[in-house]
Amino acid sequence: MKAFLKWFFTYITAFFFIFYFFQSASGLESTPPEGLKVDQSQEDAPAPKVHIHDLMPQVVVLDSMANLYEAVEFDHEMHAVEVGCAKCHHHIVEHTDQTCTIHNVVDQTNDPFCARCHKGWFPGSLDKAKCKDCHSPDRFTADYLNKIEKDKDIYHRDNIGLMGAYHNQCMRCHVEEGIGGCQDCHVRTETGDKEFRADAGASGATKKSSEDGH
Amino acid sequence: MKSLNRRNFLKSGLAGGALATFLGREKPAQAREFSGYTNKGTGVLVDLSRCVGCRSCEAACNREQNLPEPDVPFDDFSIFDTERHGGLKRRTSEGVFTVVNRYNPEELDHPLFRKFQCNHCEEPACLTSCFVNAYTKTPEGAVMYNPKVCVGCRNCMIACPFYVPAYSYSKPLNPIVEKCIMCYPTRLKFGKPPACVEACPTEALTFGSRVNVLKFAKERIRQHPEIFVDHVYGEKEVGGTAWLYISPVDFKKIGFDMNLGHQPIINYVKSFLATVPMVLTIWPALFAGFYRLANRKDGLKKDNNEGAREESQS
Repeated sequence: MKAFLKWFFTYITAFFFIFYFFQSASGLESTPPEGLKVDQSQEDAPAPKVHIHDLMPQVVVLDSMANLYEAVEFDHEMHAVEVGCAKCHHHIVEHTDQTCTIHNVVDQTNDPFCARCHKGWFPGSLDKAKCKDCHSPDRFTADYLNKIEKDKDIYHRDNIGLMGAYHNQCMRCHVEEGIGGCQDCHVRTETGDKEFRADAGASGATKKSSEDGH
Repeated sequence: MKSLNRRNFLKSGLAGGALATFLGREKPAQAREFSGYTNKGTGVLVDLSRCVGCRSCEAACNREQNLPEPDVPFDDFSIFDTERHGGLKRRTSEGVFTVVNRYNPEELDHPLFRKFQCNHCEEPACLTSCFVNAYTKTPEGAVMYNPKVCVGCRNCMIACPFYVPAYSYSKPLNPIVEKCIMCYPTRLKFGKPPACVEACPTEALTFGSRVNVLKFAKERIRQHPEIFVDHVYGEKEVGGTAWLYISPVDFKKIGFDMNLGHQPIINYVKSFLATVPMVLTIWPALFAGFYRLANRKDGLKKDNNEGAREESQS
């Protein structure tokens, strides 16, 4: 009896191994090497699967503080590969490379609460879902303030502005990585030097020592 | 005419005094229910969990208000280590309207930064302590100071519960009180946020109507109870302030005074101050009357003597 059971389990395990091998081999055969771009083979798929990495911006130029700091070329692709999409694009669920479609990233229909209002806001096209669509670059202009004070229909009144959204997302990791200083990312302009009174050191030293003497 | 004898005069005098005391007490009793002008004015919400201590606000304040050169550049973070006498952190002073201080609360694994400036109280103690009305609270919420009428008594510096107003001791000829004015003349008047708010890269400072930013504060606490302590500093403190704070750690540990109470500072002295005009108006008349009564008999005697003299002469 014991011997029979032993052989039985070995046989079953071997069977599954062989089955799995064939399964994965046939899977590889049916996926074309360029299939990452547009997968035409799946006819019954609801939407054509476009891989996100081909449509997302490679570099994003951040120049809203151009008077104080030179424009920053944010390596979007590197960050997407290194830390993943959901780390920054915060309303989405984390996807693997294979399942990550634009539709999943930006349309929030998978959350019933979001879908009440946001269904179809970003139908399939990445250029329609920019950070600044929700995080205003003019957060404290009179127009924007009036809008959120007066318009009773707006639910997300306390939406952080674009600069704040960027910094809060970036700084979380950058401080941990030890590159949290302003000038680790931003190169200061001459106006910036003036703003931060970079020249204040020389005469300040004497001033300070005189204060200590009191 | 009914003769005014001593008894009647004293009676009416006492009754009048009692009435005046009663009326004088009635008014401040009503004022005690003051809970802030919550429907007017702008405010700024300071989210301490977002501040990264970059000192951009200090730099922007310096530029906007044309303040003198600082001791060290604004990108020098060694200033967080400086301590005043007795281990106290930096505070606002002449030419420095806002400071950022660093704290190391033990429950966090990272330092916490706290911006500090005039809180622009709804019922400002500096304003109420000033006897020449050098201070005004604008409808937009800023507490303004007028150096032209200031006599330099510095009562405001003593009255301020946050120790904000500073005196320009370096100007011996025309010293003035200096403090944050919420950028009123250059920005707030035109609906723009103060320079520090606009400069803040992490939006740790949120500008809007005070009513709205207070709602934001409560909503952020509601949505993230794991981050924030359930308290909005400035909602009720000293009658409410235009600048509100939410914090991830107990406010006591990061230098906030939690013993200020919810009354505007003036309420503690209002009942006393109300008696001052009463004393000034009633007491002279009252005591002048007493004096006249005390000397009335002398006067009568004098009159009688004069009458008798006239009679004897005729």
